[in-house]
Amino acid sequence: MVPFRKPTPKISILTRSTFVAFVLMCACTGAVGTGDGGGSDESGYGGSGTGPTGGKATNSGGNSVPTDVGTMPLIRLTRSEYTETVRWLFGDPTLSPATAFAVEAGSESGFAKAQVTVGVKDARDFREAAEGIAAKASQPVAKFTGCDSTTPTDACLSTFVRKLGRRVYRRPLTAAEVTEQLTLFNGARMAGNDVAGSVAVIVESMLQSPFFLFKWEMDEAKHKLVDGDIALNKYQLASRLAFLLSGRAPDDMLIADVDAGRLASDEDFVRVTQRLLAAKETVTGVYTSFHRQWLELTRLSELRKDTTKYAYWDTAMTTDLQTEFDTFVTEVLLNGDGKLKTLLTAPYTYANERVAKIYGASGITGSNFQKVPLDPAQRKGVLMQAAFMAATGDEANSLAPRRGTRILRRILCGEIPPPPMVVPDLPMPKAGQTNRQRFEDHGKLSCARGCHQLIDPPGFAFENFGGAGEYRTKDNGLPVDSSGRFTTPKGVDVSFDNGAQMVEKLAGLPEVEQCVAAHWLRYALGRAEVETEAGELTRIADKFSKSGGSLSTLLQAITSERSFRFRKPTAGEVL
Amino acid sequence: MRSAKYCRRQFLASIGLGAAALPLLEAGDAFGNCLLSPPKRIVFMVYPNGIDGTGKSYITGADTNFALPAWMKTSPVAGGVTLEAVRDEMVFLDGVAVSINEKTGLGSHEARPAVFSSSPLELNDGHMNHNVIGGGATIDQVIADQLTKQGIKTPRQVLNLGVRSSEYRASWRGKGDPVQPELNPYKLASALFAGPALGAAEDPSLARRLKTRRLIMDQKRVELERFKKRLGTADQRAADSWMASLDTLQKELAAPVSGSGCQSPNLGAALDITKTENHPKLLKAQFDLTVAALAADVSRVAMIEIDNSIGNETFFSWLGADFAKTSGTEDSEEGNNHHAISHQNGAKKTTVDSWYHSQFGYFIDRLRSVKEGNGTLLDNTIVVVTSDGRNGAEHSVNDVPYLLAGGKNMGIKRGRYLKLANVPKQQVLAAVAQAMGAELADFGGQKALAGLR
Repeated sequence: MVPFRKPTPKISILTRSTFVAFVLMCACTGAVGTGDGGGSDESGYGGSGTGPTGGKATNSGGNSVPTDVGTMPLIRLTRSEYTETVRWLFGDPTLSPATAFAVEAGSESGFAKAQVTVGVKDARDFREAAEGIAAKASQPVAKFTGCDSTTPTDACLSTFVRKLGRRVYRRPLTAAEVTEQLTLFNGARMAGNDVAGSVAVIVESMLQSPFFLFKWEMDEAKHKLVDGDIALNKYQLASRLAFLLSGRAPDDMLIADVDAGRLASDEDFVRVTQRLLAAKETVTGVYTSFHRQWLELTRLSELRKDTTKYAYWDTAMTTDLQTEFDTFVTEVLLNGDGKLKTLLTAPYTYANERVAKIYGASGITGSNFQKVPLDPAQRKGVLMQAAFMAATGDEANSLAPRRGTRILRRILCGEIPPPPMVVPDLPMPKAGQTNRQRFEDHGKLSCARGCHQLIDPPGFAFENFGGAGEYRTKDNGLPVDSSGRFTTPKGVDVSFDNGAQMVEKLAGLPEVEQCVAAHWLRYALGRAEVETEAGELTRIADKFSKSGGSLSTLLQAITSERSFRFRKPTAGEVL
Repeated sequence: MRSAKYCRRQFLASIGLGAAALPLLEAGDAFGNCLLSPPKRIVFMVYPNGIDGTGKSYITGADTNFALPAWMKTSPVAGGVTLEAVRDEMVFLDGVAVSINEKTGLGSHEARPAVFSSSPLELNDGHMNHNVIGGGATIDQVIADQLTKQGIKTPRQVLNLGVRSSEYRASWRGKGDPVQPELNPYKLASALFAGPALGAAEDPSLARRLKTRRLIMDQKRVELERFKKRLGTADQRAADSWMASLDTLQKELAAPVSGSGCQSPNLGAALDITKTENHPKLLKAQFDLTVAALAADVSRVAMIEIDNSIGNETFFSWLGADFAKTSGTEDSEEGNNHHAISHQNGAKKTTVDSWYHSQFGYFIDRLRSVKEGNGTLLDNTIVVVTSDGRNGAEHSVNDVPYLLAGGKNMGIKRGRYLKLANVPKQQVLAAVAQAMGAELADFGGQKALAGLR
């Protein structure tokens, strides 16, 4: 039996002071850090928990040390979640009400998060969206409500409000809430609105409710406490599952399950998770959204390249690169084997005539995308496809620091501090020098060394790819050197002759699986994991690994864990 | 009893506004503000990547005897107004410390939430993605709150607008509570200047709509109270901020036709508000809209955020052949976006700053062109312009120039160049707030800078 040691996070969670110290080191002394706060946990992944519905799970090794879960952040619907939900609510796929909403900011979880506070413009935007949707949705009013279009009875309207409210609030309305809506209806009538107009007011009201706009599905009922943690109620559980796996509010089948008590056992969770993962129409959006954010490819449309070098580059290209990426991810996860290794090493992509220009592939015509084989010695997998290479490349050249940073942060969960305040600008490329040599010179500067020793080597692996993601063997007339060597944040030595080799090695590393698992957990919880959840993350990553890197197994593992179903109370919360 | 409307008409007459201008000030009718002198206004403005040209040529001299550098005396394209042309209206402050929060290791890239704030910048729940938040209320919000306390009601407490601005906000109601600007001038114009012309019959459907909106808002307040009770202390800011926003919207409802009867400025055909090539037209549109809104007393405080704090997506193709290339969004040597240009810190940066300054000059000149009382709108408006840092290549957030304009009737002694010794920005902001009539002993613990008035 391995003696228990306090788990340190498997992924990097830096305290503020460590962070600051690290910045200084990086800026001034050139010291290299892994960014994991000096954690030296070697306890390994493995061990199984007792399941989330009982008491607190144990950590690996069978010691009965409780795994404390983190709090549940208050999360507002993103623009996408709002849009997909109202499209489903009102059966109208043409609704696009959230285009004026504030763009979500990044967050500590690494995924987009809507601002929690509601400013004046936000409130005005919610109102405008609600008014537009309601006016459209409430016609013809008899069909919409099931009530008489001129003299609807209170009983009939109450039924309508209950049914609509159950879907909008993602929980049943309380009696008081139903009454409030009827009062509002009558007030709207008194103000001179007709029946349809007054029904629209109910819809407007619900769409401007904090219980719709925030994922906080609770009425006035008391919480269920288990070992000091709050058990999420069944409506919150359904909401978590639905937003994670379908990108929108719970559908009618899930609502029926919940209301009939069919979301209680572990088997229920497995059934619902599998059903939602099999619903291609909705899960496609989840997979593309996660992977775009994970690899930081959410702003491909703004990507510009030097058109004197890449005459084929235009905004249509950026749209097509997005399609290439989305198609590849979706094909691998939904129609392929659904494995991480395939995502990272598949020797094929999807291209149309325009995208094929980057690959130099001939014989591909038209705007439709088709499967295109790649030379696996040159490139393989999502990291070497045109979208990722172009997004991380410079306008006309490679850009090793950015490519390396992306690999370190997103594939290896290493942490890189912001650059120091004053770093000399990069020198212009010189004759007789490759881009790599230019960065190597820059990286030798004492003020730049700390970061560049860390981020450049994994980036140099992609020197065979220019700014648009095109394959090249010469740079500035000289042979390209894409060999290198670096140590991962967990201390694994990775050496390679070229990018394809590096990618192949990364795809076989347990810490890459652990990093992907951590990113999905953050995506699911809307927050970064806390230190005490390290054991859980270990279990999740272990299940993921044992399945051969199956994404659906990973998601199943996440939804079965305690941190998905429980939360720590927050300060000041009335239990 | 005299109606508020009458009072305001009388005011207009007393300050010499002709009948044609009457509708401009009808906006305040619903509030009953009785104005004995023209209202005081203030406009804050921030743009990215440094404000000192390249730092190689800046203002020389002292006090009233100073010379502007050549790049402030020229407008790179037609339509601009040089600061030389409005220098008598200006106070050039040089040497203001934005002092963001050294502990975060951040520079001008992330400074925007700190520029007008009493507090330093804070990192948002950790450090990933270098996500920063404003540490406290910004001066625009503080002044607006003060005006409200004094019983002054305008349809918009603060007019928050922006041009292609994303990421870090310049205006914050409090810690972690950013204010989103309206980036679409066309949409904003129709919101501000909607409604029937003065004297036209009331639109019954509009009246009904407003009454209904009020009903919903009242219900939302009840619901938000219930929601708040289920939240922990920290999360309660969601409910509190929303409630505060409802208060503001309620005030807006009281004057739904805020610019009623006023002429909306002609903004031309609506343009894509995200595209860099539309940047100058969008800037001009927001400037024109702000001037019209201030003239109509839609608001007395405005905040204009220009671009995001890095400007990677902005290319200045209208500034000539050197700027034609619009590729690359990085800060590399070859890049041609604002960020890259600022890192190169060469002739192109001077041209860009020259252009921006000529646009600020245009705004100041527009304010000056609106007659108000015996003077101009500019006499009753203080304009404060700055950047996220002094020099884009150095990311410096100390010694930043702040450009002040206008405010003659608020006692601002203009036509001066004041070299300061790294004075905390809070002192400058406290001084202009006091000139606005805000009862503010200090801002963020800093007393008002002496000598502006």
